[in-house]
Amino acid sequence: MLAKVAICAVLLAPVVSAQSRNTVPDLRSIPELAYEFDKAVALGIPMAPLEAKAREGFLKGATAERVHVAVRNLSAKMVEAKEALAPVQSPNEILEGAKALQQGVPSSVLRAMRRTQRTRNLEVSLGVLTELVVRKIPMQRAADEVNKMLQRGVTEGVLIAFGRGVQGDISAGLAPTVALDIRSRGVLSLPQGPAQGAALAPALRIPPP
Amino acid sequence: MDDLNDRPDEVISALVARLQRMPASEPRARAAILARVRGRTPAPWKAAFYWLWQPSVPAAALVAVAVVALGAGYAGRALVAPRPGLVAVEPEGPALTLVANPGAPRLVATQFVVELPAAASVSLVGEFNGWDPAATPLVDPSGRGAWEASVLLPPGRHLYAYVVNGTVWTPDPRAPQVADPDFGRANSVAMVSER
Repeated sequence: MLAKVAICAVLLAPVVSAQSRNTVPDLRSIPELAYEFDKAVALGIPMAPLEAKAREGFLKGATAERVHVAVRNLSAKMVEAKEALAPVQSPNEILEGAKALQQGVPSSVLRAMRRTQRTRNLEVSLGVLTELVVRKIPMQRAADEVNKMLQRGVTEGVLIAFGRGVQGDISAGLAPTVALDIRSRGVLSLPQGPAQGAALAPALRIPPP
Repeated sequence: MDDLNDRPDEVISALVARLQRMPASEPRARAAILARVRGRTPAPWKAAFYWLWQPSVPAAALVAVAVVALGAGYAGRALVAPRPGLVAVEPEGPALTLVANPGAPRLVATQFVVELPAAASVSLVGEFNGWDPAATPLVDPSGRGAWEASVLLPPGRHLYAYVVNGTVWTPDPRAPQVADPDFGRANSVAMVSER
């Protein structure tokens, strides 16, 4: 009899194990999530980030309700970002805009960035801005610095190096605003390259004689 | 008896012929009996209960094998479970930039390395692979617990983490981390750029 009880335990073990492994269920099988995904398609925002957010939640052991709330919030921020960044250049731009909004950056900042950069993909710039805000740099200061760099036409590589530098300085113990000042002086003192000049003011270029 | 011994084949043949002769049965009666027998088939849960209750040699053997396998599995899992105090190496910088054409998104080959000597498996999860633990498994080529993977990422800010042994959410301890207000477990941040 004991042996047969043991076999029942063996048969139930995978069920218990699956619960502790935080497995990701079929997302479409959860009606609330399926509704959010369908809504995203109808609203013209990318669905993949919502699916990824749900998967992240389940992988971290969150309940279905909590995952649904997170997906719904991200969806709302993506809609807001899409409107603020119109005309959007890529789906990732919408996602990065949404993440910036989630960190407390107002949509007016996104609109201002788009006004000055009509054709540039702002995905990297928004990522750097989000990282600065996450590192406790006051939002308006961070937005001003990123905008200054965009208007100066710095490359994405320079922007990322700037963000990474600020991140490293803060980790090393510098106050966030001090780190921002030091690194932005370094970037803004760089000479403008031909590509940066072209991005800044293409209309001012004098045609060759 | 002597008489029987003299004619054994004849006697046995007669006996077999007698035994093989079945009494005639009424078809309706036979159908009624079969219907009642079918109606007495036990429910599945009863059948399972009878099976569990009645001792049988094959079932016992199956139980023994299953119990041994379960024990070995749990023992192995306990041996390879990650322990606190493990050292992780932050992702190395980009090694290669791939540019397909000016309009396509540029991808940067980015190597992730983490030292987890006690781990049996390590996966890289992040926004770039949809947080799918099956998408980017790390390999330990030296067998000494230095797990690595190389992925192509577009320049920008990427959130990621490691999943150890399929269960343990492990942010990269030597990369900057960011709190996750949605689900509570921190992620690591990689700022990827072209060289």
